[in-house]
Amino acid sequence: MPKKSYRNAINEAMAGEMRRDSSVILMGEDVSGGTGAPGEDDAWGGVLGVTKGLYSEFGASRVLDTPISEGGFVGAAAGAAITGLRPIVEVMFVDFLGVCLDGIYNQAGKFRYMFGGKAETPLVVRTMYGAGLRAASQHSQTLYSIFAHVPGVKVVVPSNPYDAKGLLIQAIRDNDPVVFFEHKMMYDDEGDVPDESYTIPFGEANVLRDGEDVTIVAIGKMVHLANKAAENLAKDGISCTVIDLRTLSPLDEETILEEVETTGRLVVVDESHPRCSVAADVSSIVAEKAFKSLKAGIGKVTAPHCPVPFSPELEDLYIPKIADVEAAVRRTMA
Amino acid sequence: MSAQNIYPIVMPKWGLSMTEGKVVKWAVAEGEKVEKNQELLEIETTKITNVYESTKSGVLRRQFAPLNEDIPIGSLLGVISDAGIDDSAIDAFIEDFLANYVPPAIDGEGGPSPIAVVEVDGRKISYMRANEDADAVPVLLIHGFGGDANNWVLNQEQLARARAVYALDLIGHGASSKDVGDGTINTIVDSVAGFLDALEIDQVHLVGHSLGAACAILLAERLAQRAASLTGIAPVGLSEEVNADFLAQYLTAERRRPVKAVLQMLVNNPDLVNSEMVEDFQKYKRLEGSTEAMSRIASSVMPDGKQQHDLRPVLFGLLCPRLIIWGAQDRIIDPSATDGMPETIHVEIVEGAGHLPQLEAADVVNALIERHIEQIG
Repeated sequence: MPKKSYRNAINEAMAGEMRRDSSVILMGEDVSGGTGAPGEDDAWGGVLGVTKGLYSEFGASRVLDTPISEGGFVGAAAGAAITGLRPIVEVMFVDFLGVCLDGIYNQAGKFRYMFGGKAETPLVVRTMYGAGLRAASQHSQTLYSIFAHVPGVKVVVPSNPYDAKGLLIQAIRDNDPVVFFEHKMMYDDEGDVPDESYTIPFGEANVLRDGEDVTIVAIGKMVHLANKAAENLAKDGISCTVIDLRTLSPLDEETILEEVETTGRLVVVDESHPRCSVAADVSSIVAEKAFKSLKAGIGKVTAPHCPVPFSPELEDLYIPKIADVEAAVRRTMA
Repeated sequence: MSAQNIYPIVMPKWGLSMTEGKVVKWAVAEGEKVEKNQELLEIETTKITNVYESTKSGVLRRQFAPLNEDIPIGSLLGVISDAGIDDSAIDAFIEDFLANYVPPAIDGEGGPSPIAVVEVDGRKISYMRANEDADAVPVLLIHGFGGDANNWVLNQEQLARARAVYALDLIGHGASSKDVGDGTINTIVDSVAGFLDALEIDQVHLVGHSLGAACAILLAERLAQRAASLTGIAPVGLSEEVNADFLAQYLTAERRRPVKAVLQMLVNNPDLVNSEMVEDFQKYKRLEGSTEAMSRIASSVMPDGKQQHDLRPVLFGLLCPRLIIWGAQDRIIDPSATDGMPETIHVEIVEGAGHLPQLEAADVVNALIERHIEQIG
């Protein structure tokens, strides 16, 4: 299978769906790629090169550069979705979604319900999240739990290139609004990605490793930490199951509960702040529905409850580490 | 004592794509006696977990490799020696081995890629090749329904010592085109025949598994003199029934647990089915067109678990040497299909194997195929 980057996998998913379905359009800030020398289009392919080549192939009627007004263009995309298009709207940083929440949670997320099931809103909001780029507090947050809280909005957080392509194609074909989270530090990660089109269903977690002692549930970039920690712990005879949630809404409760029932111990790894997070949510579901299987208190590995620091040293301290995951697992075994 | 009585156990290379493996567990403790062909340890690769049998008799002196870590092929896993050799000699042997050990070339650096693609009648056919430059009559490995070239991971390279061995992905399968036309067995056989022509392979030893064995039988009839020999492993077409539950679940299973359960029906020892095998099958089933291709083939070749083709007259009428291999514990197609074969057809029932004896009892099956082929040349 050919190796591709996370960035290229996302690009391939969009290009493939735009070829397949003429109602798929792309809009956002600089998605047409930015102007280079006079007469040069698509010089950059977006801020981080994810939409490279789409403007050249599909033109200005399907790849729309928007003004810097997220509230306006996300609302426009919601309106386009309910009236027959399938917009992919890029909100550069998830940190900016604050100004366009109404369009997502009050409009797009409610249409199906408020129109008695007669309205469909096939909208995809792609956005970057996560710390590590030295981009400071307003460009580094991990805010998926805000969207997972709202019924009617689906939340997808791919951890690798293969999943990114399959989940994004599924998101574009889905008839409900989806917020699609791309970790900005993972765009260069490579993995096997088929050239063909494929979809990964929502609500189906990926079990990356089967263990007997502890179940580690992880999200997005944290999946790699969890895997590495599990590998290290295996050398000491501690065997871990690693679950990549893939989608936070819908959430694959069944797999989480099944695996915790096997191991009796749970550690959740989440790059968000700890309060009201997906880590808190998963912990609560397990405490409520699998309490009798638990042999130890639940462990959580998250960022601290503070803004993402701009100081590189402090930012590095802020991000969860492999050693944190190992320590949390060991605490459940103590 | 001479150092010739100390033997390294190294990470084996099972299949063309294997670059590393993990030691999952040891079956023999340090200091225990071990016989040749005794189960020594269990190794997990990205394709399968399998038992490694000792190639020497002696005493297991060291379990050198850590458990559950990725270890490159050729690396030292442990040491066996004759009884009565000093610990210091063992340590010196290990030191010497490590000093002279050269890590294998990584992907892409070790010559041409084993994977290639050829176009046949407008369809892309992906295949793996081993020892392509050898002169002897080559072998073509044809996998079964829902499988791919990786089903031969423990056979292709082993059979390639003296000859080229090709393993293709049938149309609708693996990395080949998902367009299967009308999905009939003749369309599949057409594409395999086209594959041989495209690669300019004249004489060929055909080895097929299950549906691929049915293809091999029909292909041997078509190729006439060009078919040097035929090996059919649990062929479709020699009996009436196929496990209908299996077929239904094979087509519909999507989530991990059901997929694992259905793959376990293929083998006698369910532990062979590891999570990567499950994931590979899920990945294949997610590809656009793959499920449709499988359904189309299934409804043409074996609707409702009833086989549509009686290939016994074809098989019996072939002129080339024929070998039929069946796993005694096959739960997909019952080995009783071999009842009443004429004596001109060599039949071997392999104990302890299910529907995938080439994976589950690879050494036995490889030896059978090799002997069958070598007597022809």
